[in-house]
Amino acid sequence: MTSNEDKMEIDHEGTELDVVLPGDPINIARKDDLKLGPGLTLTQDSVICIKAGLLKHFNKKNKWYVESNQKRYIPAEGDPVIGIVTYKGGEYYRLDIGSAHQAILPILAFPNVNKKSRPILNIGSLVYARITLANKDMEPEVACCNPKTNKDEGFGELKNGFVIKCSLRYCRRIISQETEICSLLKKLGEKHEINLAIGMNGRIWIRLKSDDTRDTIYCYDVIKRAENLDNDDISELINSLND
Amino acid sequence: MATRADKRSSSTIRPISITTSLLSRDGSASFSFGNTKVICSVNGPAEVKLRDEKLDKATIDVVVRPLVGTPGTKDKTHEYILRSTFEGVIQSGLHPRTQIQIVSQVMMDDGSIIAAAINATTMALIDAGIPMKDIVAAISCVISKDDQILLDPTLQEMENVKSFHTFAFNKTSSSLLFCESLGLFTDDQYFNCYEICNAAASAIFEKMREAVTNKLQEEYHIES
Repeated sequence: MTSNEDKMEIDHEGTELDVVLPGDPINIARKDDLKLGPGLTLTQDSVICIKAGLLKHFNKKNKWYVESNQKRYIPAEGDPVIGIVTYKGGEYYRLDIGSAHQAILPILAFPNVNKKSRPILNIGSLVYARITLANKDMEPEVACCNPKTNKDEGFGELKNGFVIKCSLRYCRRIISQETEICSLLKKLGEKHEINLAIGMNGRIWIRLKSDDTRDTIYCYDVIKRAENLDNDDISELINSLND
Repeated sequence: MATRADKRSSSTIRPISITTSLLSRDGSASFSFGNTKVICSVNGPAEVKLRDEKLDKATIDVVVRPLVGTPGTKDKTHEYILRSTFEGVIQSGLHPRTQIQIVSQVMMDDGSIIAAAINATTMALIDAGIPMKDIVAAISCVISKDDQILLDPTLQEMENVKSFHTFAFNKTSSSLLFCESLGLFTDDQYFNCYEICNAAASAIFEKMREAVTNKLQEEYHIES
């Protein structure tokens, strides 16, 4: 046991970026109970990196992963996503979620439905759903309810509103409730009452209570502008919203 | 040592510049050796046409667009070279029944086009986040009439030479992934070229790492 173990995470601050490129061997001292996240793979007895990014790890749980940004979404179980209905069938809908394969949304994956009372979705409708099955050899499956509680938990059709496309990392940042972005959204919420749905597939849905086009575009612009800003610049952006 | 037209020594590479994420595709990069410049874009893993679908791995589709005009036999050869070089490096088994499309467009041609195209493709694949076992760097050299090995030749230097060689290496073991040689040469000359190019490839890997680091620093100063 080293003293480092008490630290939850090794932070890579300032210039001390631990940049890894595909093919880089990763030095892992402890082999017990090793968990590898995205961007790492085990070959024979060594761990190598398969994506470029920042190497991060949790010392206590011996979890390692590569933090990187990309535009293409790869489905992962449990992710909330925003999909567009592309096909309507007797048993299921097909959703475009931005990944290589379209996701299947069974009509029974809604709360309180049976064969007779199916949810009404048309081609082109927006749906907020959670990924329930993600396997590289199978089509991804999504659901709009929690099977345990049979409640929608906020998932379902997204009516009206506007979809913002952004990088996957920006979605992750918002979902992890990074403080600066949160205060930016709160600031926007003071002026306009906003409904927000964040999909991990690089889509953000906004709908203002007033449904005013000008205000919607204003909110879109502010959210989109914060994508490439650091925390200081976001604070500046929040201040500039005051006038 | 005889100087070259651009006052480089025989084993110096022209200035390398790398830009990433310049197009709206999933990944893109431009790579230039002096006045030779190639832009490459990568899209994927995306939906695949049924007839191209492979059940156990991703289909890698390569398109090479020449500087002017429509793609000809030379460009088809370059497509084949890129595909065969990167098929072994990309972990296509992780995304079965999908397509990874690589489009490479020549922007300026001043010699060593294949090498620039391979390097641009590596950077674009990194940018797109395609899983790879390793990364690739390529470099060309010529053996001139007076038996001198000139690294990274310009278009002018590629005329009237005894032979022209292009090598592509991987990073971890710096072993050969692809090589193409045209002309007459002895095996000693060939291995000399190999050694010189191998050393030059590690310099290119350094530039690649630098480009990735710069981009990440720009993106992540947010979190520090």
